[in-house]
Amino acid sequence: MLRASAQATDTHIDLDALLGNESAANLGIPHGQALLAFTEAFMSGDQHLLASARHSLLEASSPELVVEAAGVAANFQRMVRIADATGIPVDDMSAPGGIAIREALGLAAFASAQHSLQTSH
Amino acid sequence: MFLALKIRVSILTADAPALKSALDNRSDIQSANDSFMSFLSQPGYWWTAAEKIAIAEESRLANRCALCQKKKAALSRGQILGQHPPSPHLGDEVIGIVHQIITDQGRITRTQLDALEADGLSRLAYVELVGVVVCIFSIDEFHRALDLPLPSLPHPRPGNPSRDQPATLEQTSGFVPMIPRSGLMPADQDLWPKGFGANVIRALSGTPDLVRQWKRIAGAFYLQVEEMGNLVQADSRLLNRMQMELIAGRVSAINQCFY
Repeated sequence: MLRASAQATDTHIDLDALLGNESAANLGIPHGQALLAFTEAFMSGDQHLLASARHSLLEASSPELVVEAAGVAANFQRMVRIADATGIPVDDMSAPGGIAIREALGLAAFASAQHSLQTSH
Repeated sequence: MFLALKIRVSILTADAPALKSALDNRSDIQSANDSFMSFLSQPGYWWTAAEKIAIAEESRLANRCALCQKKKAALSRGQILGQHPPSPHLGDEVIGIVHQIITDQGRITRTQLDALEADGLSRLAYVELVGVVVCIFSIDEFHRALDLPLPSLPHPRPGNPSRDQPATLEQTSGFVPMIPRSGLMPADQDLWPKGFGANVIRALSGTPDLVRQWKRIAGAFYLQVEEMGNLVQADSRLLNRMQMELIAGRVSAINQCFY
């Protein structure tokens, strides 16, 4: 979806951001580095790191934007667990964009890939 | 050194009023949270209210569970034996799967759920359990992200589970029965827009109210289903879609989410 949203606005981005590369996150994405740092800190479970990253994001943007960022992060903590706990496959494994992203990011190595790879063969 | 740390802590603490004020202006988030807590207090499809709340309580304990940390670190979860601290409302197998959904969801298998079913946990009861776990976890994670106290869990209301289930269920993929994409009955037309029905929306459709709850939370935290086709920027949001998907994609990658 990051790639699709970049294409929708004809923005050049670097998908290495999804691998945690902060300088890549800054390419084309407003506050990209601060948003990625916030996300990394959130996922680390380190509340001190999170407080610091949240403060940096707040200084760079606004409290309202930080609340939205927290919401998106919390939302996707849920989505992955729905998908994996119910074993659902990817809806369309043949979509060219999806194939390219999965190859570029090496997603087939994830344990939950079996839910989709088994059904697509 | 100590003074610098003290100043830093003071700066971070000073963020709280601004964030609280911003959150106070998001009545949709408050409403979604309140709606879920009210839902949690009522008997469900397959669980009593006390059991649903116990599932939510176990969700909150999962990340501090020493047994689950050992299982997560093990090459094979089965190598680590042990029991969780008991709950008055839930068996150890149920506590175990609740904790695993939080701590090690990528290694949940069909074989494991078949064994749970043989022990009495029906697939639809499991679907409802998953729905309760993921909704409370999402709400709690939102509060953690903003360093806010977790909302109190409600008191259970009396009553038995309804044991209602949708008239049209199929299990063609995944671990659980789902309503077919084009199989919505009149009472469930609100679950997904015509022609949409992505698997992640249908996954909990064996217990339709759980789809409604997670959609309401998702609509407040992320986007309404109807807004998801807008890849530029929703009118209701400051974050543009690329910013949202950067966060979403990184959370999913760290969670090793293939879907």
